[in-house]
Amino acid sequence: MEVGAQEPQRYDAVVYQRLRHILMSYRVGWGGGGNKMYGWEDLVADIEAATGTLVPRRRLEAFVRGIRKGQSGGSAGEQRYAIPEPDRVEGIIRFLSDPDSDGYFCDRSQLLAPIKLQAPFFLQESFGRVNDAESYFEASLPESEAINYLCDESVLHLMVLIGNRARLIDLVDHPGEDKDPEIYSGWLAFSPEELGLIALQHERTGANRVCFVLGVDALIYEGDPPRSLVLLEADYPVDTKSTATLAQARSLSNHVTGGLPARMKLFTRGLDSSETDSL
Amino acid sequence: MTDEAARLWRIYQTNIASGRQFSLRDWGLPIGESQWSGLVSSEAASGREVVDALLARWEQQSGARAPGKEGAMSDEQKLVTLGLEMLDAANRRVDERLFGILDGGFPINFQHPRFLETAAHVVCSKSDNATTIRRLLSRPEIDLLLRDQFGRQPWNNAQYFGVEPDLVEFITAQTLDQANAQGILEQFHAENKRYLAEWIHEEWFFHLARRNPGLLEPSEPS
Repeated sequence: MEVGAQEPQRYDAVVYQRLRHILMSYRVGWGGGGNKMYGWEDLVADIEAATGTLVPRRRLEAFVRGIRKGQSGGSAGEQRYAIPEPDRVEGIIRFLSDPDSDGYFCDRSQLLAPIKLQAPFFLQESFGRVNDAESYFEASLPESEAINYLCDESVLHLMVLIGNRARLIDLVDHPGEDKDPEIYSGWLAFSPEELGLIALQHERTGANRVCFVLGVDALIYEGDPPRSLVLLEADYPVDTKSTATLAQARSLSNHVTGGLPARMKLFTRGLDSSETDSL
Repeated sequence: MTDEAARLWRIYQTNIASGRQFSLRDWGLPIGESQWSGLVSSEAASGREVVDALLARWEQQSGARAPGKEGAMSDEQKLVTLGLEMLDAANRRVDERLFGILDGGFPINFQHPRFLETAAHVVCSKSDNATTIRRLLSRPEIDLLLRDQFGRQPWNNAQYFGVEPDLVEFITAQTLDQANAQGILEQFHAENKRYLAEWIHEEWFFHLARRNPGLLEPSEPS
């Protein structure tokens, strides 16, 4: 590198994911004017023509389309995406952010902007100040944990896997049915009385689930990750009338109390199935 | 009717009232009207017979769960509930239930009342699901241009939620063919670009990287 030249910057996963997906859509979409024959070589040529940076086809394809790693025998291997060298990444960023480039997509600042953290509606409406919590998201969360969290004062950011991988003890939700993990992320906020309230949002659909915390490991107060959470899921709103009869009131009461077992959730992590089975 | 179905039914009605979604009535009900036949499998009988068969199926599946309550539901409500079951089957990868409902003549392009997802959105968001995806997409009535509440089409879900690249290309090609056949390819690309500019700031867009930080790795030296 020349003396005084600026060292190419490295970015976090958010930026690389953005670049990948935009390039993918460019290749199958508006790149080449929607021409079906527009291929990887054309994309390589367009990037080089606009920026002077050559990103070899194999490098570009390994970044955008991905490669299979660990392929052996009958195993298909794991999909991975290889990030090109920093100077080539800079070329791609210029290609997508230079208004004079054919690949112009948006301003550089937009391409590199940090992710916006979105609290579920319930918390947004109930706790308007959680916007400050954006910085909590910056640390990377350990992938292998069923319950990921980041704690600062009274707010936790959670990422919860519901399903087999999270070893969720769900008392009624189709026991025994082998279903995919459903991924929710969201917030756990503690009230001054230390009542915990969790608002989770399903990652794909955006569906909300709201839970109260009934129990949590004492470890959490020592700064260690909790091993388990016992939650009571808030029930869906029930239609009530101010002039409800006694029978209707009893019906509501029965509805609320009768549904309690179904709404009790136990999230654990780091336990094997023999341990969770006994819980 | 289950509590969940009752809740979704209310949201569904709200969506329809606000003009966000078409009701099944708009799609061809009341029963027997001509539009309905265009929504069902060509092998199935059209009109009233199909709806009767679907309602019978609903009675069989739901009547046992909530005896005595089914009488209060309209046919439209029952069919929405059946649609939710179809999407649930797609989500849980229970092909027998999914294709059973579809083979009964249920509209393949039914959208979730709240999330606006179709069965194609759901199956195309799951990895290791090639057989189901190809089977579903082989149906001629399938509409791959419908958008969910975020504006995503099934090929977007495939791309962002970890479907294998070859399959993403298959779904994408089929989507482009549909857009082309409708003469809206240019509009399709423009809309995709506009949505993408919003999506790159959404949390769900980074789903894969967040779940698996090792997904992206530096290239080995050339």
